[in-house]
Amino acid sequence: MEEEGQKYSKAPISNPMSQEDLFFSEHLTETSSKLLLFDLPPELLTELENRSLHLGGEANSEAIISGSQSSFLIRKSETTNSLLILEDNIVHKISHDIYLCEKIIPPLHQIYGLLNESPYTSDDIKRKKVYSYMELAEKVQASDSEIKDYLKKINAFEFRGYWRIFDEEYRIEVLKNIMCKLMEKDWPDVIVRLVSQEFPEIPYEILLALLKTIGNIDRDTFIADKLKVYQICAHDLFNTHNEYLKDEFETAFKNLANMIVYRKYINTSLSIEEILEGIAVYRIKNYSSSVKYLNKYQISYNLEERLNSLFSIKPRWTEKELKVYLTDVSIISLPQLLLRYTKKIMEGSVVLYTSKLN
Amino acid sequence: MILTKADKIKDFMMIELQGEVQYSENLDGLKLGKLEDGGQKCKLVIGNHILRGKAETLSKPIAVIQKSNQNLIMVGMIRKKIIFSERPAPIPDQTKQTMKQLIK
Repeated sequence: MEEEGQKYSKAPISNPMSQEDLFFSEHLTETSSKLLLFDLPPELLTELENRSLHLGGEANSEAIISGSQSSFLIRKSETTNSLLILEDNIVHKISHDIYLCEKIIPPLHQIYGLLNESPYTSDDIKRKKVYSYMELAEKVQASDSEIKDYLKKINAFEFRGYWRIFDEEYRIEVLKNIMCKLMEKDWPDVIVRLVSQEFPEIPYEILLALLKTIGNIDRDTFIADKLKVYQICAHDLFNTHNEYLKDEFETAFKNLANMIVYRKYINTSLSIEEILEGIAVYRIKNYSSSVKYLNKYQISYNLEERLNSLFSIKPRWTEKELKVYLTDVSIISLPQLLLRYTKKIMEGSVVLYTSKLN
Repeated sequence: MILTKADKIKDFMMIELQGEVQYSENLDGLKLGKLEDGGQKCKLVIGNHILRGKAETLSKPIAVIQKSNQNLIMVGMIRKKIIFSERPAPIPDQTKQTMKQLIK
């Protein structure tokens, strides 16, 4: 059978003043349905030089394409014009659409939902479904870098081939016990091996993962992150009640901190507001100031759902407060988000934002 | 679904025509017309009509991707586009004679 390329002239049509007959491919019907046009971002084109890219997403959602660093939503852009796609002088496709790729924040919060199906507790034998990294990557379409970064943010850890998060009550209880032990022992340096000897019932890998949720481990020495140590006190109080009167919370917080924060980690320069950032918000309820638990990793990552949730908890926010909850959920900058979704109001000399959505 | 790149990337071109291309028969293997490519200014003769357009180099090339079973392969890039944004004009008789000679 004669090749198409041999049958038709192959003179390049880009020659100035060239004249050339154009033909439809002999297999136009077939090639037209097989070829797609993609406006791929330069970073994906560069990555394609060296590796393959993964396209996916949940059955009912739009497709997402991920590179090693970022994820893009694939959106079909239709045109009423006819786009003829030619190689040499042969038309291989007549198209009315091009697939565009929009940079997005992938639905990483689904990972939290999956890992929270069976959080790690002392009674891990009763666990239900657990997920390996590959299973998570298949379920949640995002780049490797985005998934790994998110796993770190939610204090997830790999244990016996599966990624897990701690049951929050278990984590706080064990860390409180560890902090009390540190106060009792008053070691100059906290050697993880020595801590492990004091808690033989906790698997060593679990002890490491627990300590890493409140600091770093350099060789065998634990170095605490002061902010995270104080945050244990806040999490502990919120395990009992979801919301406190402001004064009541602050008194309970100080008492608890005195009891469990290892004295070497006491840093009076941290304010309660700083400690509660991303964990809880201050609001007025029934004419009294209160502190309500609001974990930024546990509310919806859908921007409009998140905004609705935030403004239903508290109708007026400062920019600083909103920044904590809106930074990781959209590629749109905070000033643009505020302009699009909020109304600016003045309360005395303070600038506050209310919702434009309802 | 996996997207990979073919070993050899072909050079494709795009012709954009205003509106829908309507046809009553299968186009496979048929002649579309004659293209006169004058660098920036281009002409396309289809039957008794002539279209005038202009060529442009795309600032962001478009990838041509082929579906293959459950996977996708990038087989080419489109860097050049010729846009025929005006309505097709009928070829006057005298021009038609000249065009006929050209098309022969």
